[in-house]
Order: sequence, then C-alpha cells, then structure tokens
Amino acid sequence: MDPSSPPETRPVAPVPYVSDAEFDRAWNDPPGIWGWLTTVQNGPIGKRFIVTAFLFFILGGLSALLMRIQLASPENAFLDPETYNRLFTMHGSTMMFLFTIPLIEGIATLVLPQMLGSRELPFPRLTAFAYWAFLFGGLIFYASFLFGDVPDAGWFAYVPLSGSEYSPGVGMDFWLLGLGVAEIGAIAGSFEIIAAIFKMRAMGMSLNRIPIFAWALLVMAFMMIFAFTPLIVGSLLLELDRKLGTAFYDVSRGGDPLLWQHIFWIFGHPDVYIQFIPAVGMVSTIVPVFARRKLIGYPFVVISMVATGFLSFGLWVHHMFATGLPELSLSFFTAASMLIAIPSGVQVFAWIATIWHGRPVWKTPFLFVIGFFFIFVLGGLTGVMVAVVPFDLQVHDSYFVVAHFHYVLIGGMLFPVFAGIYYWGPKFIGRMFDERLGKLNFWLVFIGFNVTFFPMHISGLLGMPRRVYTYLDSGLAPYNLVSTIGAFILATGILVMIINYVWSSRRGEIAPANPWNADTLEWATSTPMRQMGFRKLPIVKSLHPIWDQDDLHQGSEAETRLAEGMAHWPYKWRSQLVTSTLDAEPEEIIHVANYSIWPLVTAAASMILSFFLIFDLLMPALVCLVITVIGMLAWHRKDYAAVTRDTLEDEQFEAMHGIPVHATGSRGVARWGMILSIMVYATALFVLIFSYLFLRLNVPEWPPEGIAPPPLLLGAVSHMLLIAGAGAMYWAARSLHRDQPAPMKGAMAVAVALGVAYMGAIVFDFSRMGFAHDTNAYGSVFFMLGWMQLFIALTAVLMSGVTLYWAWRDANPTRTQWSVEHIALFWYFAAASGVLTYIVLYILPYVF
Amino acid sequence: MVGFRIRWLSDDLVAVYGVRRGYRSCDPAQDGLYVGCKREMSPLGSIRVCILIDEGGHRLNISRHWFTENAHHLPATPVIMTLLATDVQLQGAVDSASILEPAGPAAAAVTNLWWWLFGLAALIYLFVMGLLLWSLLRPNRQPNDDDVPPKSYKFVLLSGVAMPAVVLTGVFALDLLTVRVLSPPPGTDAPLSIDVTGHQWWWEVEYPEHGVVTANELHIPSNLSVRLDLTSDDVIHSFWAPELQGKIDLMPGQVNTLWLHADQAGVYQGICAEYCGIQHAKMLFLVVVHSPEDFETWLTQQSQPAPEPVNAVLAEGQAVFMRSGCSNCHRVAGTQARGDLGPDLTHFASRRTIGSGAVPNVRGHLAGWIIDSQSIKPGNLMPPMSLDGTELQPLLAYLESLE
Repeated sequence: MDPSSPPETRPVAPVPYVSDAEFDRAWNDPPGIWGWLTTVQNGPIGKRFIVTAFLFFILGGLSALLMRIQLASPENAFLDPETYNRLFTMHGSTMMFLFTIPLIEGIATLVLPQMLGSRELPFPRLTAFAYWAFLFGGLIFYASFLFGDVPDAGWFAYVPLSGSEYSPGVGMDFWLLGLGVAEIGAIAGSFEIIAAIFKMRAMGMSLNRIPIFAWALLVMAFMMIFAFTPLIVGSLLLELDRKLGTAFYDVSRGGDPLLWQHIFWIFGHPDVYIQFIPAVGMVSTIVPVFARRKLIGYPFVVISMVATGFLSFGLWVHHMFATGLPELSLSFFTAASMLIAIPSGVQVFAWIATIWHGRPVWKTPFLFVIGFFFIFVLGGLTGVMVAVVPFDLQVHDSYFVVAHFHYVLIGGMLFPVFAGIYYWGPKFIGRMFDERLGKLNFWLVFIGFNVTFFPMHISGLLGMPRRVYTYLDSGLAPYNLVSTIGAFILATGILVMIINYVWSSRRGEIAPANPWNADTLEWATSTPMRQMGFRKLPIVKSLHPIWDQDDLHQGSEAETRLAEGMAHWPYKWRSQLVTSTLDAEPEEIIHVANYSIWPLVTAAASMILSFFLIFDLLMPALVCLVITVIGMLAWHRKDYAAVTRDTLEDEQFEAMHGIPVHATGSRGVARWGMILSIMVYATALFVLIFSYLFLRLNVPEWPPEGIAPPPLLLGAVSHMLLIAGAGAMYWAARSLHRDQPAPMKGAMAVAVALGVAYMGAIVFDFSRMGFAHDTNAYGSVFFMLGWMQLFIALTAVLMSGVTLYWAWRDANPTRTQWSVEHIALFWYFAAASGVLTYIVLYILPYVF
Repeated sequence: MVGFRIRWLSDDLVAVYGVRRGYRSCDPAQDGLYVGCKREMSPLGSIRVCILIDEGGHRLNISRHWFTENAHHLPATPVIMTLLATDVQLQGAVDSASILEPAGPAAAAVTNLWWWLFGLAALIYLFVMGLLLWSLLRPNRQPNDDDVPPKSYKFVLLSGVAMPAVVLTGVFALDLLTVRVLSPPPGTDAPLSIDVTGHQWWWEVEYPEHGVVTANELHIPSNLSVRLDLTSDDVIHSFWAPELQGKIDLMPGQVNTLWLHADQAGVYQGICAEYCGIQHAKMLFLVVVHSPEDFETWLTQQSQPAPEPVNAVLAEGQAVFMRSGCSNCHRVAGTQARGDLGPDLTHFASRRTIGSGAVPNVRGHLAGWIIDSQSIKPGNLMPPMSLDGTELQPLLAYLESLE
C-alpha cells in the first residue's frame, strides 16, 4: 500500500473529534504508587535514570574526596590501606558503570523520542527493565558494604588478583554480578535507542535530517552492544573460575590472565568513547543553538563520530603496552590510537568554525561547553602522548595517566553533560535554572577541576604510581596537597549545582516552550511536556525544523492527512508511527506497550537471583531464574485488552491512509529488536571463539594433556537437526506471508521438536567427552562455547514454542503473529552459529 | 594525641608514658621492652606510631589508636623503652624517582621524547585555544547568515584532518626512533642477566650464574646493559625504576625481559606499578648501581653462605631463628633455614630496608617488624611473632650479623 497514491480512490470515513483529555487517557499511568511502579514511559523512566545516576555520582565523588584527604600528605594514616583500595575500586566502578552510562541513557530516554518527533521509545517495557536492572545492579554492588566485604581489586579487576585465590571473599562476586546486571540494563537501553532512531522518526526525517545528538546516540548504542557484551562474557568466565572451578584465567591449568585483559579492554577502551560520543553530540547540539547559527560541517561531524566508533575498537592494546606483547603489534596500536585524534580534531574545528560565524550567547550551557574545550583538548593531547609506546611505558599506571583520563572523561563527558542538564533541564522541570548560580557552579567546577587534576600530570612525571594508598615524601607532597584542595573546590561546585536544582525547580522562572530558541523537535512540545509529547505528529523538511519550517505539521498531502488522522485515532491505545529507515516514510502504526509490573518483577528476580548465586544458594536461585523467565514471557504477552478488539476500525484507517495498523505487534521495529538481539548473541559467541583460539595458541598441543579430540559423528548429525529446524522455520515464515495459519503452526511444531532433539543429542555427546569444565582451560573453553551454543538453541526453541502456543490460541494468527518471521531470523542465526561452533569445537582440534 | 607522651632520652631511647603517670627510663636488655617506631605525617602534624612489647612478648598496643583509647591501661611502672635508632630517613640517598631526571640512556631517550611531545602539545594547545577565544570574542559580527562560506569547510578539513595528520606522522616517527633506542642491544648474550620474581608484596632478585639471591634490591654495575627476566609468583606486578627505564609487567606463567643500563653509580628508587593488592603502595625496591669493581666485590660477598655465629648471643639468636618459625618461610644459606615463602635472609643485614621499602633496616624497626609487622605494613603475609625479650634480643643480634 503506497501512502502517496491519490486520495480520491479511498473511502473517506469521518474522523471523530477527540478531546485532549480523552487523548491523554491512554497515555496516563494508573494513579498512586501502583502507577509509579508500573510506568514504562520514557519521561518518568528517563528522569529516574538521571536522578539515580546522579546519586551514584555523589557516592563516587565522596569516595574520591576521602581518597584525596588520605593523599593530602605523605605517609598519612587517615585511611588504612584496605579501605583506600576499596574506595578507589568503588570510585572507578561507580563512575564508569553506575554514573556515566546510565546518566547518558537517562538523557537519551528523556529527550530522544520527542527529538525524533515521535511519542515513545519502541520497547517501553524494556526501558523500564533497563532502569530497574541498573538500579538493582547498583544496589547489589553497594550491598557489599552491608556484608563487610567490599570489592577491592580495582575497577579493571585484573586476574589473578580478582580470582578466588587472591580475593577469596564475596566482594568480587558482588562486583561481578551487580555490575553484570547493570550492564544487561545498559544493553537493553541501547536496543531502544537504535530501534527508535532507525524506525521511529518523524515523517520526512531522512538520514540527512537526523539531529546530530541522535547520530551520536546511535553510534553509542551500537558500541554498547559490541563492547558491553564482551565484558559480560568476560565477567561470566571470571565468575565461573571463582565459583565452578573453571580455568580460563588460571595459569597452572593452561589459562591465561592476559585473556581477561584483552576482553576487558575490548570493552574498556570503547567504553571511554561510549561516554564521549554522546557528550560531543551534546556539544554539537548546544554550540549551534548558543552561537545562533547552524552547525558547520554536519556531515563531517557525523562521519567523525561514526569513524571514532569504529576506530575505538581497534586500540584496546594501548592499555597493555607493558604486558610484554611483541613490539611490532604495539606500533600498530600506537598508530591506531593516534588516528583517532583526527575525527576529534575535525569536530573541534567544526565547532570553532560554527562559533566563528555565529553570535555567541553567554548562558550557562554554553559556558560548560567552552570549559569542555579547554579541558578536553588538553586531555586529547596527553592522549596522543600516552599512545607513544616508550612514553607510555614510563607514565602508564602513573598519576600522569590519572590526570589524562580525568581530563578526557570529566572534560569530555561531564562538562558536556552538565551543559546538557542546564540546556534540557528547563523543558523537564518546567522552570529555568538560576543563571548566577549556574555560572558560579561552572567556575567552581572548572577551577576546582584544573586545580585537582593538573598537578597530577606533574606528580606522575615525578614517579607517583596509581592506586597507592600513600607515598614517600620525595617532592610529591605539594602537588598532592594542591590536588586535594582542588577536589574540595570541585565538590563545592557540585554542591552549588544541587542547590541550583533544588531552588530553581521550586522558585525558578517559569520556562517557556523553547527558551533557547533551539532548532530540534523536542522544543516544539509544550512545557511541561505531555506524556506523548506530540499529539499531532510533526513533519520534517529540514535538519533544523524549528528554524527553517513555518509549519511543523505541513508536508505532502498524504503526510499532512496522516498526522491529522493520528491526532484523533487511535486514541484508545498508545499508538506510534513507524517510518522507513532511510527516508522516514510512514510504514506502519503500532501499539507501544502499556504500563506493566513485569519489568520490575523480572529485574527484581534477577537481582535476588544474583544474591543467591553469590552465597551459593542454588535452589532459591533456580526459583528466581524461573520467575525471571516467567516475567520476561509475561511482559511480552500480547495486550489484547488494551488495543482495538474490532479490527474494523483498523481496516478503515488502513484504507483511508494506506498504512497498515499493527496493534498487536510491529513488523519493522520488532525486526530490529531481533536483529540487535542476534548481534548480542553473535558478539558473545565471537568472544568465546576468540577465547578458544587465544588459549589454543598458548600451548603446543591441542587438546592438551593427552585428551582425545571430540568424536565427529554425533555432533555432525545433531547440527544437521538444527539446520533442519531452521528450514522448518523458513517454511513457517513463508506460510505466514501467504496467510496460511495451519502450515505455519505445523512447521513451527516441527522446528521445536527438531530443536529439542538437537539439544538432547548435544547434551548426550558432551556427557561422554571424558573431560569436564574444570579439568583444564581446554575443558573450560570447550564447554563454555558448547553451552553458549546450547543456550542459543534453547532461546530459539523457547521463543518458537511460546509463539506457537500463542498462535494456537489466536483466532487470526497470521495477522497478529508477525514475530514468527523474526523468530525465523533467529533460527537462521542459531543454525549458522551451530555450524561455526561445530567447526571450532570438533574439527579444529584435528587440523590445527 | 591525648593520653600519652613520648620523651626522647637519647638517639635510640624513648620513654613513653601515660599522662597521668610518671615515667622512668630503664634498660632495654633487662626489661625486654621494645618499641618499633615510624614517623607518620598527618594533617595534624608529625606523630609517631609505636609498638610496645612487655616482658612476655605480648603486644601492648599496635598503633597510635591504642594510645588514644587505652592510655589508662598503660602500666604504672615503666612501659617505656625503645631500641629506636636515630630517625633514619627511609629514602637515604634516594630523594626522587622522576622520569625527568634520567640516569640511563633509555630513560634519557624518553625524557627527550617527552620534551618534544610537550613542546608540540603546548603549541597545538595554544593555537587551538587561541583560535577558540578569537572566534568567541572577535567583534564585527555579521547578522545571522546560515550560508556556509566554502572557506569554512576548507578550514575544518585543513585544521581537523591535514594538520593532525602531519603532526601525528611526526609523532609516530619520534615514537619509532625512540623505540629503536630502547630496543635490546645487538647480540642476544647478556653479560649479566638477573631473574626478578614478583611476590605479594616484595621482590625476589636472583643472579642465577652466581648463586646469589636477595630481595628488594637490585644491584647492577654501571655502564653495562643488564638483562632482567621477570615473572610473578602470584598476581600481576610491574617493575618500574623511572630514572632508568620504562616499566614492564611481571606476569604469572610468562617471562618478560627488560634491559637496564645505568650511567653512574648511585641508588635509584623503584616501585610496583601494577595494582597487586592491599600493600601495592609498599612494594618498593632500590636499584643500587655500583662501579664495576664494587659490583664484583658485592657479588662475591653475596655469594658466600651466611657467616657462622661467632659468639653465644649470636648462636642463641640463630637457635631462636630456627625454633620460632622464622626458618619455615625464610632461607639463610649455610643453615637449616630453607623456607621459600619470604625473602632470602642470607645477607639480610646488608640491605637498606625492611618489608620492601616499608621501613629502614635498623634495630628498632626490625624489632617492631618481627613482633608485629602488620602494624607497619598491614596485610603483608608475615604473621606476628610471639617472642619475649630474652629471645628477641639475640635474634636481632643474629639478624644484624648477616652481613
């Protein structure tokens, strides 16, 4: 159906008049505490993200202050060494995992949908789950204080120090599982962002009209998938080493501590850019608004961000220059690390050119952006220095590096984010921030920051290593004292920010809808914003719609009519327009999920699950696992009650506007959800294959210690079963498209049966291998990769089983079960990963 | 400090007394009371942390907190004694470990590299910030005009791509040049190679060709490229002597190589640069550079077994060493003590520090360390020893005889 076909060929139904109050009803959550617990909408969840992240920021900051007091003078006894080590572990972990990422996710959740001209994020319940997982993960992590065993192996948790031999208590388990839960939340958040940017933009917002901040978030979200997944896998391997006696990192059994460092920094380096890219996206958003002219070089800036995203995955080894890797490989990573300076340079000069041709307005957000320039450029320059191997070998793990990355992270991330808070804050608190307090806040933070961190360059050059609870008095004392004084100035600045927030949100001037005269769509909503932001959807014809367009709802005739139509129907459920990925042409109307308690239940169950795992209580843990799975299934159950039961209205609307109405499940958005899930699974699989090959290269003989290579036959046969299952799913998807419910259900049943048979055969095959996961590193990595493939197959079987059950109960399954075609996609992936796993596990030992 | 006072009676005697009680000095050998002291700086000023041991060898206190909280438990009769030597500065000859004051060709090359990098970075920083300030503050602004002058694109690409590309190529060349200076000298045979093993939290140093084992001090001759083969016995450590050479990690199950070359005789500070647990901060070492002749002397002297006790006190001290558990963890070549968990003590008295740079190697600290090293270096792996005065005195004498 083509939306641009002539209107007179369609029957015209009268559009009922719907009042604002009526329209709002579907978007309102239940009143009271129940509504608070069940809400899934981007507004409240985004605010919660931001507030919670800020609370963690304060905790992380307080631990930094305590450390600075300890380091104020040499041989100080303010803190004992154990407490100090715990504090720097908590400081780093909190800032990296519980502050920066969630804060940016919060801003994205809050701002992104309306910036794109849509009403909601694509998977609201996943948004809610992401928040609860983040909160509960953070709570588990901090619960270690209650148990008196706070993790103290550093935020990088290098093995063997973080292994069970040298960190025997439960502290590291709190770290691994708490942050693991929080990271799953972060990945969930990235799904939202990608699907929203690809599929839920305003009509007409083609790729070249996507706001720069959305581009930044898109790059960030993809990076999160490819960076956080390795970390989760690496943490899982470490937890298995600790709990189940596997040997991934155990030298005495063929493991290798360097494997952890590779996996950790494959996450850890991109992680820096995950924080940095959205922040520079904010800079690119704020600079033009306050310079009062369009950003110069929008395409260059977008390309730079994408390039940064790619490059950032190619330089993790510069954290490992001192581990004794071959010299040649180090030079390669030096070159790659330097290369990444170029996209940053392009952006810096694009901003300068924009300011040059603009007329700056000196408001607080702009001040923070200028502060960002001064700090970040310095941090970038020291970054090039530490990429130079001989210099890095001197300053690596010294205070020079501490200074460098605080310049990059605080300058490159915190300053833009503070600018963003001052910039977007008025839209969401409804009042303007106080300018005088804002400027005081800026100057205190700016001066405090430099006084704290600039001297650290010098103390590093004078030979002060990182992570020491005290130091000898050999000329280091004055620099450290100055740093401590600076830290308190910085903390005062943060305090002023809090005061400003509290005061302004009560007494501040009422904020107009677009106080800064900004260009992007979120400023076209009313202040305070209604839940869905736009009742009448905007139509975009420019990169700067508010600046360039007289009427935000005027497009082609079909578009204008659709915007008008969707302002009145469907109004009984939360409806959302899905547009095409490249040109943002209308594709379908979908129902975004209603409020639900299940995301909270699922996240809570996985938190309690982690607790039980930490204390080895397997039975209660199993119960929680079941609740987690039930919760996930329950939140995906089709919400028939909430949507139009009578499909007549749907069909009328479809006929009138030429656009399908998918009230019980989308095609395009859910397809992206599935593609992204496959990416996560595939990344995890690749990390395990990488681990397998890495451990294999460590030893001359493989399998080691006279273990026989796995027998080929049963594995081959069972993987054929899996491929046949994927074929059956292909048939099911084909029947769906041909509107044939019976063959669809039949083919799915066959697929489920084949999948179950596959898993049974593999489990049997594994049981007769003659070695176990704790025999040696070979056994560990063999079974881990094998289990991973089994888990992929299990996911495929579960999804198709549940969908089959729903389709069987459904009167009209081919209209409502679009998920079948997505699940078929997952089956193809499962078959492919099965073949890959078979090659690695079974065939490779014979040939290599 | 409420609750106790210290009075220095002489260079190596101190009297400690509760505020409500008098004090008198007594003879340490007779009373068997010892104080291991170290000076601590705090925001409140300099204080001393003391360890008092009564006649039974029981600890009366382990830290200044004890004094504050338990001052009234101080016995009325003398508490008092110390064998504290003069307040030796731990650093001794070492007063800095700056990479800007290199003492060998490798570190000098990096210092040189640093000044180049610093100069380049300073120029670029001033250029960019100047440009920014000018663009912010320049007068004569046109009314808003959204047409992008084509020159702007050229500007963005020239300064954002071309300029960094040129500068970075230069930096990369500097990098490669410096790497060449640092790479091992031609010919794989080192005239001297030393094995260094990292332990939580001390360094084991072995000269395999000479049968010498020592700890926390690396002795090398000046003007010679020496090869270190480094590994770890437990977690990851990192060997860093900033004035001589960049760092290299000590990885379990892997041997890394580092070449050291010092220009002149001297003592240089080194430190562990990879976080390795609770006492990472106190995992220091010294690189002692001798003239070639002195080094030969040192090597010959160190390769001897420990001297036999020459008198009854030393014999008693050796007996205490053997029967009190010291020998379970420590080795003294030429005796029955063959423990290998702690540092080799064959020539212990020739070393400058105790506990990997925690305190100077003087009698007061040694006594404090033996009785309760946990109060000096909390978390280190040496348990407190329960010795009374009549055992401790000869033991100290014996250890001090292990030149």
